[in-house]
Amino acid sequence: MRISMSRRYKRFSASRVFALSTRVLKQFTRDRRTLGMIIIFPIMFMLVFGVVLSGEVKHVPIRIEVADTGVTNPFTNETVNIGEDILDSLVANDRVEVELASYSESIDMVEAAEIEAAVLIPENFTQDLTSTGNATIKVYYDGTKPQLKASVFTALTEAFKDLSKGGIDFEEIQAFGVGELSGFDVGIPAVMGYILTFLILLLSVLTAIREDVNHTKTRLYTTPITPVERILGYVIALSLFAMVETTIVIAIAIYVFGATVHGNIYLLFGAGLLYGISHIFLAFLLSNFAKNELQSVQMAILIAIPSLALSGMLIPIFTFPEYLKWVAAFVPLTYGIRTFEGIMLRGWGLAELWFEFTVISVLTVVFFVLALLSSSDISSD
Amino acid sequence: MSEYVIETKELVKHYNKGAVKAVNGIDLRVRKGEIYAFIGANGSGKSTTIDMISGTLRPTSGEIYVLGLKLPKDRRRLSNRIGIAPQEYAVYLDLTVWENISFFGRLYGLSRKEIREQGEKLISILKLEEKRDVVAEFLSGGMKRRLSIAIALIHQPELILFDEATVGVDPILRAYFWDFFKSLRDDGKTILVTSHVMDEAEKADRIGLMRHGKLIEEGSPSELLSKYNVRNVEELFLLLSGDENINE
Ligand SMILES: Nc1ncnc2c1ncn2[C@@H]1O[C@H](COP(=O)(O)OP(=O)(O)OP(=O)(O)O)[C@@H](O)[C@H]1O
Ligand SMILES: [Mg+2]
Repeated sequence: MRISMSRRYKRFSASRVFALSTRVLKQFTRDRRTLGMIIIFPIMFMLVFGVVLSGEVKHVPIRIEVADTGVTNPFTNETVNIGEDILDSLVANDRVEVELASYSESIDMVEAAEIEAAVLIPENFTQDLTSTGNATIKVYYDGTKPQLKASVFTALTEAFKDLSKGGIDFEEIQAFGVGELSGFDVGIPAVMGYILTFLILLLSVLTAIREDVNHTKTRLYTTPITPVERILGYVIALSLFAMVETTIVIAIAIYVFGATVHGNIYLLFGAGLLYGISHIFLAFLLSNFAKNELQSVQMAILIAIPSLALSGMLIPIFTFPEYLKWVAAFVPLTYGIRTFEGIMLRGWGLAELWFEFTVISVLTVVFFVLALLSSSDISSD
Repeated sequence: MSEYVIETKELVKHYNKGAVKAVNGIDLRVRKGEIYAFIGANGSGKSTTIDMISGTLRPTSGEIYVLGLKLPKDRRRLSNRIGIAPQEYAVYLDLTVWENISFFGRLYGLSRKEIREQGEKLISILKLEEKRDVVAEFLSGGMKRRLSIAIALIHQPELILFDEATVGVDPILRAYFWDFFKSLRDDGKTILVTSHVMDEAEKADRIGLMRHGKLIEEGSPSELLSKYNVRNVEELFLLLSGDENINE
């Protein structure tokens, strides 16, 4: 038998990529530990985080318009303006962060998820309250996060108590969500983002590092496969894992916890997959700097744990101090959660989420390029 | 172009910024169609040299030409023509024997038919028939080693590098494998091996003895035995590098 001369070296070969991805998939199906991780971890995570998701929140941003003209006593020439008094009390309350803005402008901001609520104290508020004993404040609020809504209404109620005025009603208008959202509804998008971050990073670094641990990487160096082919082969196999993972998470959210997806479920799936792929590349980048399994796991944890705090998953980003907001802007999970929340709770589509999608896509490309630049087909030591 | 299949000039490899001088100026010449055996104490630099010749390790300095290609620059073009069984098994532990062989066959761009023919042939030569569908994790050490050899040969390379290829292989099979290596050589293949088994090294066409990262002696077994007036390669080894580990 002689080697046919037609078998020349090809610069890029899809069949090599495919050979590698089928090999990696085979590896998955043989490994019970990994299979268990794919199914048991997401369920565990959902339960644990879902229960924990409650608590008091401070510095919730709201905008208020005080149109109240007050009532002037014609004899003493003294003006009473209860609307202004309510404003003063709200400013003093650290549950909310108050700024002045027109009601219509503020409504737009609520809809853009920039603030939690828009408050309007109408023109003849004091007038109505003093003459009839009844008056109404309009509150237009987000509604996707019960804790935030609770902070706003608690602050308002406390303001009336300070003034010891009864007879004030709210006209509540909820911007997002149909009816009352459960704690699980609210927690799920964030938990989904987190599960994808953590599990995909972990599984990907472990899969990639195996090549070093088994010393097969050196053998691969001597075959025609190139670093690009190697990364693509792995990413294809791991993307299938990301698909399974996303499907499981969405399915559990809907069928087990009864969450409702207000937006397009396919878009949600696509977002999960794109987000997952960006983290597969990130994992590859990390694994190029790890020497063994332990180091690679440490790196995955080093990324995943701070993400938990910095992405606004536990405490909303707008309550962060200014410098932390900047840090949060560089955490991929921040955009993942915004996307999942947007689609699931607010019914948003690409029109509203184009920025988040762009950021995640750019990250994917950046991680890919960096992973490629740090990959080699020869070792230096 | 070099008349040698392997030619190195002043080949040097230092690790840890020069703290470890693993290979310290080697001029190696291996001709086409010969079996060349590296012997030397643990840490004398055999694996480091082999890894540079296979294009998987970047030298600190010096020149390497393999099959007329300059390394490490042209290593990609070498890949279809060289087969390597590293010192570690370097097999996928969660794939079966057959899956390992066919995976590498596909990387080398072999057709299904070629993989089947060459793969089955190697499985039978390396006596792995019974273990064909066993996951590599559950193979004995010697069997993993045999699988590693099979993978190295799936694409019928012109140059074969075996780093301690027969470690863990029992004596009867080892003798049989050497007959197989000789048949490969007779087909015109060139083989570079490292070994700690001295009667095995004696079967090579030429022996190179490494010590402290240098090639200190070289020649055919009979030449070397008469030059140093020793009875076998084991005595030669003890004479020339027996104290290496003790001194360290
Ligand atoms: N990656 C590395 N980093 C640092 N030092 C290394 C590295 N690889 C090898 N060395 C050192 O280089 C020297 C030569 O090692 P090498 O593996 O080439 O020896 P060897 O002759 O193959 O030994 P053995 O018979 O044990 O296989 C040793 O001192 C070893 O400790
Ligand atoms: Mg060695």
